[in-house]
Amino acid sequence: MASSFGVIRAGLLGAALCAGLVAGPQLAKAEDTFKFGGVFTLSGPASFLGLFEEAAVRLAVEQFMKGDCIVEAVPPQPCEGGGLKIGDKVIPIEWTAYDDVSEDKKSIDAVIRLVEQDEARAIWGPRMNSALLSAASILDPQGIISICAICSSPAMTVGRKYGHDITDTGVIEKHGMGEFIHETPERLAEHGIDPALFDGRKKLGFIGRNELYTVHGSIGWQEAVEKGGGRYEYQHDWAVLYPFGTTDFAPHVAKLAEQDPDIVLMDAYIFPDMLAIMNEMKKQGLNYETGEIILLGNDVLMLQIFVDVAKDQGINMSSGYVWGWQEHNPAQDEATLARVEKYVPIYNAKYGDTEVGNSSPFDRGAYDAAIWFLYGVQASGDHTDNDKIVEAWRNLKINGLRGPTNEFFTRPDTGEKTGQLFATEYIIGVADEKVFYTGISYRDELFYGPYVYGDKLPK
Amino acid sequence: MTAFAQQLIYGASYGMNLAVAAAGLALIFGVYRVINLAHGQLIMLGGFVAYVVATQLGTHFFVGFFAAMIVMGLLSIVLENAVFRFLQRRPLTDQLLASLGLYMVLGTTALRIWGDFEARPIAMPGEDWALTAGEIRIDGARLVTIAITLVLFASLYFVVYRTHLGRTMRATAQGEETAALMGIKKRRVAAIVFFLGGALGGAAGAMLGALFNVRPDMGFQPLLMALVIIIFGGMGSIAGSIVAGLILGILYNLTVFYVGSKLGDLVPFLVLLAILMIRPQGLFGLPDRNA
Repeated sequence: MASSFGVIRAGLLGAALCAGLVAGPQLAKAEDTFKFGGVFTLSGPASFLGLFEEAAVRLAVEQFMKGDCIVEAVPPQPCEGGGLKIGDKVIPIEWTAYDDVSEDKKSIDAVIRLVEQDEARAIWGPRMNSALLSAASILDPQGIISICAICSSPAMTVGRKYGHDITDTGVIEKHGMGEFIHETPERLAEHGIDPALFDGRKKLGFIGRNELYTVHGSIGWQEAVEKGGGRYEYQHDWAVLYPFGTTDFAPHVAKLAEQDPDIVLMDAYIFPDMLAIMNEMKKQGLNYETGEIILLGNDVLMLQIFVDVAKDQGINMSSGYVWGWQEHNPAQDEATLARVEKYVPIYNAKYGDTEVGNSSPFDRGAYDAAIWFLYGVQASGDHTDNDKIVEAWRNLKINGLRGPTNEFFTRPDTGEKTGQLFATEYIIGVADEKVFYTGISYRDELFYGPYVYGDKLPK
Repeated sequence: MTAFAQQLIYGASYGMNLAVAAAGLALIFGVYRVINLAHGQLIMLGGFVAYVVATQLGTHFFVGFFAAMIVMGLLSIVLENAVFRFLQRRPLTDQLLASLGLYMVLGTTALRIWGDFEARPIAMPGEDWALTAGEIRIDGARLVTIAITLVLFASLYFVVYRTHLGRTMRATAQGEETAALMGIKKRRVAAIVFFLGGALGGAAGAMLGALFNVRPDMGFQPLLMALVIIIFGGMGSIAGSIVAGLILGILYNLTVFYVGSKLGDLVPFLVLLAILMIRPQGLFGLPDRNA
């Protein structure tokens, strides 16, 4: 028995020595490359989000290496191919991505693997909001840059030196809806919306799946109501948050109906959930087709494909009582359109026959964010110092596929650049079964409260 | 009072669907002594078969419904032959792990084939009308599923308690070796039991899919509920499945409505804990004489 242990110990010692011999050259090599990793949801229930994101980031890295970045930094940064231009050197980018299979534990396993085995200096993801805080506790103490373009959680940036959210959050979105419901009749009329749309409506409701994104969204919804100074009533405690895997939505909608809301914000983003809730709402007296309630929803509700699917199920979203938002500017300027026209064929040629399909706002946002980050690394002048990278990146803007001069939000109280995209929300409606942009958008007025910027997330 | 009555109706309707799902699980456990976690995915796949046949091929709901029952019954026989017959005399943990593996394989396969983004409706008789009494309403589609459930249970009762086939199943459940000595073919009984269990899973999937859309994760909550139902009702008891399904469905709805939307899933597990402490054999089960 003792000799067996001896053999095992000798073997372990040998393995450790071998690992040590190999580790030396690897660390030296790390100086000559920029290691960039990602954790994406590529399979499982939420994969439709991660697949777009991963495809776009991978394409962005490839385009950067080829010297064909399409989008431009402000002030300008070179994109000459071969990698990052740091001083007179060209540093190749090493890209590694893992699938979290829509599971929190796998997300964290992948983060640990990227940190410990792949030695990534910056990590894209994890996307799943429920894994964000755990990932932050691993990444932040080590000063590893964390990036996400489809996360939607304040946990990505609030109180975090290295966290970056290159999209809006559930809170910012709800602030946008809050601004909309407080609009003056004159401004509504100016944009072709019934000026009496919100007249006589007082009580608000909220329904969504029980997850961090919607919990924060409901809190943002309450903040928006408080900001409005008492025109509406809503408390976070009223939120109807159904569990993951819910099949029968009847009792959840019944609970919502019991509150007798005049306006309901449905913060679901999985088609079958949304359709089941909308069908049940009509049955239980929360009818958005006849104006018993106004139904507000997110950017998934306002996708044309969703409106089409809903129509097939007998749901009419063109009643004038269904509104939502998009983060992507529906009215692009010429320069942006030219960039999009160059990008879309490249994306479609690469992914058109795969499950990621043709280009959409989801992949374009992620592409912008990835190139923007790589420009930021270049701008820092030192790809081995994450503090310098963060500072340089946050002070750089980008003329991207989503529009000109995308920038990070500056805290008004301290003047610091945060890692949160200074996102705009565009109000969208549905008429004649087609989604349309109302011409109303918000940005500066959305950025308030501790969930948008603060030193840590409130409990 | 109206709200309470309405929740009773919703809960009873959902509970009946869950009872069908649980009956398949209970039947297989009652005769074969295997807990088949992959049953949740048979429910989901049953929904997809019904969707493909009824919606995509443009046939009637009942054509899709029976197709779901037959295909899932046959798939269940395949699973018995390929996996479960090797596990019958193995420890419970082996059975659970193997069936959990099957659950994941079937779920991932469905996701790869169909994805999760799209909604897949199945047109169902009764979906355009409802019975109303004052402020209480009962959707026609829910009534149809309740009627189907009652027919399924009556048929199952007839097969199990009024036919020679049922006697062979019950004899095998009581003593496999004794039954074999009496000339009952074990493999044949296993095939029939798995077929019926799978078919009930397929039926539950077709009904749940028609009521709430078909989706790759639709087997998860019914599976959890079905596991509690078979313990609550008494392991292997079909009558127990019906009663426990009804109680659990109603409790789930009342909890969501009166206590909190986030707490609905807590109820089955509180019931499970209570049952295990107070009456471990379940409502209709007999005490374990070996204990």
